[in-house]
Amino acid sequence: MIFSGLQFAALLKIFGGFAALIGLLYLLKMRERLVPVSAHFLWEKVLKAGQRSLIARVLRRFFSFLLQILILVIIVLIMGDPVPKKSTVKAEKKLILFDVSASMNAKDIKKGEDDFISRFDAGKEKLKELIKSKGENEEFMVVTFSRTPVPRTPWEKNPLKLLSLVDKIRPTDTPSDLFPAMKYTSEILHNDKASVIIISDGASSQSAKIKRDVDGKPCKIENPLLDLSGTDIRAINIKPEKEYSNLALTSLAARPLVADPDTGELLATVLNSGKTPAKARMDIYVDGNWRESRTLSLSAGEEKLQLLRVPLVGSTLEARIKPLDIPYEPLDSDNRAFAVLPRKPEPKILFVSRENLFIEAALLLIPGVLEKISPEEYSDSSVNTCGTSGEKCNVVIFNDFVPDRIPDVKNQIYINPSGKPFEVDSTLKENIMITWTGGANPHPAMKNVTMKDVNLWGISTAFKRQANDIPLMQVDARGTILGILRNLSNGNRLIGIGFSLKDSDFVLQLSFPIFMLNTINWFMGTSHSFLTTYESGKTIEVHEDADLLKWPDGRITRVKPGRIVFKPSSAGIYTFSKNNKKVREIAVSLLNEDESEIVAKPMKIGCGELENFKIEKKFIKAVKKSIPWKLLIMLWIAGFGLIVMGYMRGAWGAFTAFFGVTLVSIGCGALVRYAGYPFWIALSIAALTALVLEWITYQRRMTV
Amino acid sequence: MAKPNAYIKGSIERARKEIEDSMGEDFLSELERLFLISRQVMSGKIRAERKTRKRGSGIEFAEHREYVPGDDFRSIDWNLYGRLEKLFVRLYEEEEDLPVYTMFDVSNSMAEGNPVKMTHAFRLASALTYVVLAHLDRATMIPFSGPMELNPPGRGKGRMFKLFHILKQTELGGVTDLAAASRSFVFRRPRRGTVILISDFLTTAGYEEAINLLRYHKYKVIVIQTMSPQEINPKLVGDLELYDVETGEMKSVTVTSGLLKAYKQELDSFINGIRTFCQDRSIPYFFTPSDEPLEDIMLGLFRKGGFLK
Repeated sequence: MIFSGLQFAALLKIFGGFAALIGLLYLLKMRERLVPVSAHFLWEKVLKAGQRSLIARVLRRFFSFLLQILILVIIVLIMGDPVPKKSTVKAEKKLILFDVSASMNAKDIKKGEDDFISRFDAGKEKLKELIKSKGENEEFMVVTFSRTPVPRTPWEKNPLKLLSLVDKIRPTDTPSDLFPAMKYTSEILHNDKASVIIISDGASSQSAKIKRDVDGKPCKIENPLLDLSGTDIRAINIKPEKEYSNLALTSLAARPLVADPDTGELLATVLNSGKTPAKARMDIYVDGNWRESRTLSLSAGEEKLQLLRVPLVGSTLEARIKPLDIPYEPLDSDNRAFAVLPRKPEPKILFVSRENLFIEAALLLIPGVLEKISPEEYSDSSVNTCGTSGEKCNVVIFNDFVPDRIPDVKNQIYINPSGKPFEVDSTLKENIMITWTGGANPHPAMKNVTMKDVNLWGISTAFKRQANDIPLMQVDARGTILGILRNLSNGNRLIGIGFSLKDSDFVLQLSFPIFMLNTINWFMGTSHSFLTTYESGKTIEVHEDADLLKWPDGRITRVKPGRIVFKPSSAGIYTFSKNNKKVREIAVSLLNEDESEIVAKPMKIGCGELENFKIEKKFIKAVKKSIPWKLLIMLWIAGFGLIVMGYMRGAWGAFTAFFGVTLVSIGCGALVRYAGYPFWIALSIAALTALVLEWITYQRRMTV
Repeated sequence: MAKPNAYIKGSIERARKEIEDSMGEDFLSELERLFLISRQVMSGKIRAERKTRKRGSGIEFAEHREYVPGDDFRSIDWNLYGRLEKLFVRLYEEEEDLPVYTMFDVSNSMAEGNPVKMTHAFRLASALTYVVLAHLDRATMIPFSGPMELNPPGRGKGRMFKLFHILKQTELGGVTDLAAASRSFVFRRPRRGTVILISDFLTTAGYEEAINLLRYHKYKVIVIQTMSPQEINPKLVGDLELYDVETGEMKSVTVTSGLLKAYKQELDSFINGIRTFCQDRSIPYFFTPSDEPLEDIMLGLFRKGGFLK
């Protein structure tokens, strides 16, 4: 006989601890309450007739103590799970890889006449069957995989615990990749001998580079990425009886127009993975409101790019594809794609200059508030109210003028400043040409701006560069900075242009309005690049001052402000917020051609198709075999306790014991059934509860 | 629980405080109301109309007696002399007020219970004394546990304040000794009258000797037994150390429902013993739990007791 549960030393420690506790409670119980009475002689008479002797009373309580110790011994023994020595053979391990990728959401597994269930649900049923068929000496571990593998259970013998953990598995909207899962498998198994069972609707391409045994011999693969020889790998393939057509959005991008940020260009790719032509309608929604539709025809297997111009006033964009002539489409999750629109800039510009219609004309292109004042009218408080808005200016432009004090405005442009706020490096009197505007990676302010055609005929000022300065315009790639960006420590950004617009033809060039637009847009954080969406299942890293993250399904996760890393498993809009105020949104979409190709494929790893795993249905037999003797002990303890308590404590004691034992039995069963606790943990919790209840009810004179 | 001695001291102090708190205006108003109720109940039986065995100078004829030298000539019945030619004198019943002595137990055991038995006994004794005084009879209240001092009976409602004052000076507590109390009472030879004995009678020394002694000395005895609800129906259960507040004895006991049942039977038998003892000797007996309202017990006494006739 050996202990297959906890080891003897651990059992001894547990017994010692609890025995000490019971002993302490017993000693406390021995203390009698002093009660004053007037009719003492009446009590004397009564006691002479009916009271047991002192020895009998002490023995009775001591017997109660011994009984509790006995119960403890039995519980500790159960925790040790003693088994005959011959039955302690090494457990047989089975690692189950369960596919939870987006294609498993396809509802094409027939159940009944007209009813369909998803591949995921069908796979989960198979997984449960597999667990229920588990032999007594088998240990299972369940790992789900899509883009990355996630272990869902430890190595576990208890089928009930496995089932309860499996119940918590949910499908994802992420693409499938078997290779990381197989790599993870090899790391887990290390040198252990185990079987691997894959429950999936198909294998990914990379799994071809995995070396494994076929018919008991390693197959030949050149330059294998992973060697799983010696591991028995089998598959439970989830296949629909019939193949259905599927339409999917496989890419989505949108960008606002530079001159009209309220309108945008949208690029989307639609795929027909079916074997017949299909008609579909693509709808565009902004903030959940319909904005645009387009009907398209797709031939079998065709992927079509669509370009649309749509109004982009809002915060989120959603594209939906709807089949028009397909009777049944099994997969919904690839019919939608999401993007987050840029924030609308709201520049409030104070323009301090003498008459300069060229600059004003360029600024008029920018939507927002523009107030123009002359240098004579300017004072320190001028920046506090911008135009009719009454709000503080967020951009101030000084043309041929520098105030005595640098204003506290987030964004400032100085055209031809004289000495401050930028130190002068040199003064250039000859005609010069600006040839460098950022090179291959220009600053956003200089994007699409060329200065090569600009003539400067006045006196130009070259700026002295400081540590955090970024040059925007230089005479050549080596130096002589005529355009500079300075980031101040208080967060304010200053752009300086080292020549007067009056002494150049810059304002007559197309580059000038583009430079002004770029600069203002950059100040406002507006981007005119394509708005892409994040791919589901890929790690996202954002830097946000947020404390909550709301998932598309409504779940809320608490996050720490700063660097936030997470892996989105569902497609939709993820919202970051701080103090219940939205601070940022992130769009996540599936957009994966492989997943949208929902035609079930044979499970191939390495050299060929995987052998199918057959599940033997023997659940009821197995469970019945594993539990009864423990259940019998529990019932025996309960029954014995009931009899003894009933004898010692009278009718109330018996009732309480019966009630307590019933509750304990139900609680114990529930812990095993629903919480998945091992039987001995459930039983020890239940027994401890019973002992505590016994003590409390005794102290409260309920069961005396 | 505090240590036994400290506990007894505390409970006596608590009882004293309760009694002193009862001596206020509210209680006197309540007593006056009880007096008015007693008038309605005992309509027409006012003024000290108790007939005594003494023959004297009353106005109601009692009997004739042969003349002996020294008798008042005015009382000779000349009509009878005319018929019988023998001198007889007319005797009249003498009317006098008989004092009511209300003895109430203030021993340690009476300081127990909730409400406290001693307070209940005091309120009851006060009510009875007040009603008697208000009926222009003589009455007094005598707190006792063992041998005691006798407060002479007085007359008139104002006497109550004097009695309250005396009570405040009295030491409360002690071990109940009914026989010693009775002996010290009769030893002082107070005028014959009614003795109302209020106690829990929870004493191992017994009550029989005390009551018989009073009867022997021609006092009309009325017995009122009071007990607390906790004594009548104790809620004790479990392993306890019972402590006798009078003798200081300790007893370890495990109280079970069976034991409680036996206790109740024993208590019933004890109470019935006193009741039977009293009934056999034509002594009015009343039992009152300490939580019984004063008005209820007083009405019962007025109606059933008849001791104010």
